[in-house]
Amino acid sequence: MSQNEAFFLDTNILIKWIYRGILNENPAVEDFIDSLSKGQCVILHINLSEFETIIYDAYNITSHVIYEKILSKQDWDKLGVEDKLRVLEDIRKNFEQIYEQILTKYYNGQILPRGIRQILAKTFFIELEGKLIDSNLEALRNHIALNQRTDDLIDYISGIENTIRKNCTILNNINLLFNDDIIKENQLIYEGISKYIRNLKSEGYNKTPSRNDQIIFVYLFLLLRGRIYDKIVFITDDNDFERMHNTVLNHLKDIINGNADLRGDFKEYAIEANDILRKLVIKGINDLIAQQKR
Amino acid sequence: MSADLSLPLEEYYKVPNEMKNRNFPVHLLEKMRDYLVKQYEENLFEIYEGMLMLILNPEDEDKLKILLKEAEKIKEDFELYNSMLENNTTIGEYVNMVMKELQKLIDGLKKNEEEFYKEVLNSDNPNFLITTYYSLYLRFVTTVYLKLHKTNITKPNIKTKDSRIKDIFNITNFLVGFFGTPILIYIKKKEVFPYISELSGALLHALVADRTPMPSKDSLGYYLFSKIHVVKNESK
Repeated sequence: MSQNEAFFLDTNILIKWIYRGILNENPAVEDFIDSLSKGQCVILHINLSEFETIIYDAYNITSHVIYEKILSKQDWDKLGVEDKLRVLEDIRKNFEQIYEQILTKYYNGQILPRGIRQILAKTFFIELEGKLIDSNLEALRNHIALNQRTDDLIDYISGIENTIRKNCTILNNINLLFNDDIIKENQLIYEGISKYIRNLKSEGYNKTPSRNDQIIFVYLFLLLRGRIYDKIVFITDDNDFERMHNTVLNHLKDIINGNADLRGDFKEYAIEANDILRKLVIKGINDLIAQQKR
Repeated sequence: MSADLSLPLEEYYKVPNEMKNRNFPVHLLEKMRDYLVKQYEENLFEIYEGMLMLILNPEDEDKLKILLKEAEKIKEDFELYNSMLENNTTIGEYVNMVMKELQKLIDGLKKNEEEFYKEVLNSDNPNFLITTYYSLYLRFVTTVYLKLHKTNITKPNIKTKDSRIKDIFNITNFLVGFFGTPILIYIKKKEVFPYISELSGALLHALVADRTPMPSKDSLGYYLFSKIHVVKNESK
């Protein structure tokens, strides 16, 4: 393997790796990441920030649940341990419903429903139960509703970032995205992405690639174009990226063949962009694991 | 409370009083500031808000064009203002001015912090995203202030416009306004900015990157981290 070949982890892979225990993930995901050297395992800032946003949402809802179900009831301090346990058990048993209620009532459109955020929020709650029984109301209020909360959150996330940094390189070459030169190949890539989004919409799909996904795609292209990496394997858990990649490649082929650019003005840029994009490989994590076993 | 709080945020960009010395054309500058404030008071806020929405979800191309045009107009006006400021101050004075405004902003935010949390949580619409954002913003501004405080100004007496370190202070001014907007939106309209999670993710990431983990026994964050990620891994 050449030195400049790297594996980039999509946000969904970060989740599978860091929360493998909670999600009952195949340990092979972790083994695969462990098998990479620090230089080979790369995470873009954008993905890390996306990952942290998910934790942030989940932790905020956990706080809201505790605030509404425990802190708003003034008698928490007066309850005996058995009664406290009963309250906690009630919340735990109905956590999914409580989560949805709070989300619909207060965070409509601000936080996505169910999914990973809900699973994390419930885990945070369960793991905090011991502290909820131990602490007095005053201390809890500081941690859950007042200024201690942000410190707690920063502490938690810095623990996680530390784990990630031990295994992987966190890449921030954001200046690549703000290059003042007009890069004609980039124009073609954006055209390809727009085409992909139009196709999805005309086929009736509502879920189109997020702005972040589009930036990540262009980012990977620029990393290859700038020869910062010779080959990039982007590891993900769904086929959004692969389809985007294919549509862009097809768009470039149309230009090269003269179907989309009759005068051939952009042919040479399309050829270059096509050569570069062929060094990008989009892989599902399960394929990689299967491949490794062979 | 809300009125108290919007003051330090909104006054951040005002002309320094300390500049009333020597040949400094403070009357001109003040006239200009008044004009700009009147011209853009409402508008500037709208544009910031629009920029925040667009940068995170720039799908609306027409809106983007209008905003860019507006922003361009404002930029020209402010550039004139800035160039007057940068031509008539030394970098030492300029830095002093930014630092003083930052101090006032931090003190104002800090003073209102607990009150803000209580007001939000006791309202009909308690929302933890905005309270967390408030404290992330406060920590961010404080971190920036502490960093800038260490800036070594070797030649405090050269004109601001000729100084290379003015850029970092310019960016600070921009970021303070930019990230402060969701709080102003909340105070003025009682609305939570729809992309607040994404912005918080960015602030959080910036704050974490700046920090070396230091376990404290009081921290629920470390408690959670060790329970979920350390203990379970060791026993696997």
